[in-house]
Amino acid sequence: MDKPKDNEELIDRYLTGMADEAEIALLDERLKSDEQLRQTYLAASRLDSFIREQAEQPEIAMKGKVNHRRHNFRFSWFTPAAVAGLLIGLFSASIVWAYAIPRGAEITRTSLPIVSQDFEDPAMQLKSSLPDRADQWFGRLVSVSPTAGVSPVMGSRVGRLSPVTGNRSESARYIIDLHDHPEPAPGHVRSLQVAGYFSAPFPGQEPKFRVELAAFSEAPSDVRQAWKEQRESGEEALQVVLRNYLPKSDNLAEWHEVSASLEIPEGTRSVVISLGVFRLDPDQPATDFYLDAIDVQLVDTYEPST
Amino acid sequence: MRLFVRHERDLRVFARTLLPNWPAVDDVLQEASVVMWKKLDQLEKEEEFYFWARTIVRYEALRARRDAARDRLVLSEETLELLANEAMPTTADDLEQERAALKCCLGKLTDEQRELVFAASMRDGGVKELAEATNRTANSLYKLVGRLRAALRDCAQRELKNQKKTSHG
Repeated sequence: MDKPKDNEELIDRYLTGMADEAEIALLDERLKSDEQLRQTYLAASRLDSFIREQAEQPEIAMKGKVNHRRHNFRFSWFTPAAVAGLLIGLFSASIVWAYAIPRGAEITRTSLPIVSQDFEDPAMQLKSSLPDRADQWFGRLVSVSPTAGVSPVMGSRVGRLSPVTGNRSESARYIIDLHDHPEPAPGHVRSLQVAGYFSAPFPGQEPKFRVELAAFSEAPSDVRQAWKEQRESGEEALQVVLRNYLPKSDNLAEWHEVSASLEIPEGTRSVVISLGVFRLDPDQPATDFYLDAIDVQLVDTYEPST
Repeated sequence: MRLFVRHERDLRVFARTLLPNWPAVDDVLQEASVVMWKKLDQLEKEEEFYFWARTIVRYEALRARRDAARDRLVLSEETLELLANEAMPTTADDLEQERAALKCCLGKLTDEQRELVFAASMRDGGVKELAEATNRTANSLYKLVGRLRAALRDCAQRELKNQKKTSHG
């Protein structure tokens, strides 16, 4: 089971009966010591009650096909075709409130933030291997308070990536499992947009910053093997987008925003996000660099009639 | 009993903050209503019923927690005491405002979205049942429900702020 990303998710899991023993113990500990979290919990609990009250309203129960009194949920509308429609609808609604942006008179663009990473957890420990699971970072990356006069873009800490001397590139990687997200509606074009901030404040290197997005048909657990086979055979992943950014040598220490967008091809299951540095001279002694404020969004573009 | 019926909805909201699931809420409210009936002569003024009744619900909820001492799928008694203390100042008027805000936000969802949110709140394991019925993993469907609940939470907070601005303006 994936670990809850934050306290609100932990509370939701508890209130919806999804939390296991370890999660409840964790929530309990946090509630004891955090008054603000207790207020969040109380608000979430009240929300749960109000939702239930509304669900019990006769007209809504009938409309929504949920009959609480008999504890008899009707899932008749959950046919395979309807599932796609439901999930599309869900996706649309959760984004329409804040993110639907008309593009001219014809094309509408909707965005759903799915990953936001500021590296604020000092205990963050990552595997340095190629990734083999979704929703977590891999790489020689740790959370630090920045030095060398660098201020974080967000929060108080940044990610520090430490290349190995002799290696030409070094990246932090993350897999998006598209099965965890609703499918795009017919006629919608789905893209993954990734942006992050890079800084190379330490002397001795002139790197390229790099954002690479690679689409695979394999599930996250099979991506590592597919990645290796791809390198050995020379075959491409379903699609790869590579964005290099060469900062000027006199402002390496500043933050540089680098972004890339991948139009997700049909048949994609996993998208691997790589954020890293390409070292022009790998034999130069390697120095660390910083990453911060990583933002990943699923973006759908479509004509309003579709 | 008339007073209990009038305030039952808000008492359920309070009980839910202390109990892990809705069957437990139903049980505690039933026990609490019996206690209220027995001790009604201790209530001096009708207008004090709600706070008096909440004290009884609190006591019954904590008693139920002690009865379930071996159950590790519930919050500790110490945590429940803290939650009960901090939930107590919430008035019936506060609840009514939050209720109205949430209702407004639910109205922004499609029928299908509302049904999914309702199913997840109606009973424990609702998300798991939905996942099985739709051949999806519980975790992926849970994430969808979680996003909707988070959106409702944000929307309700905005609505409450707007209500306060309007009432003060």
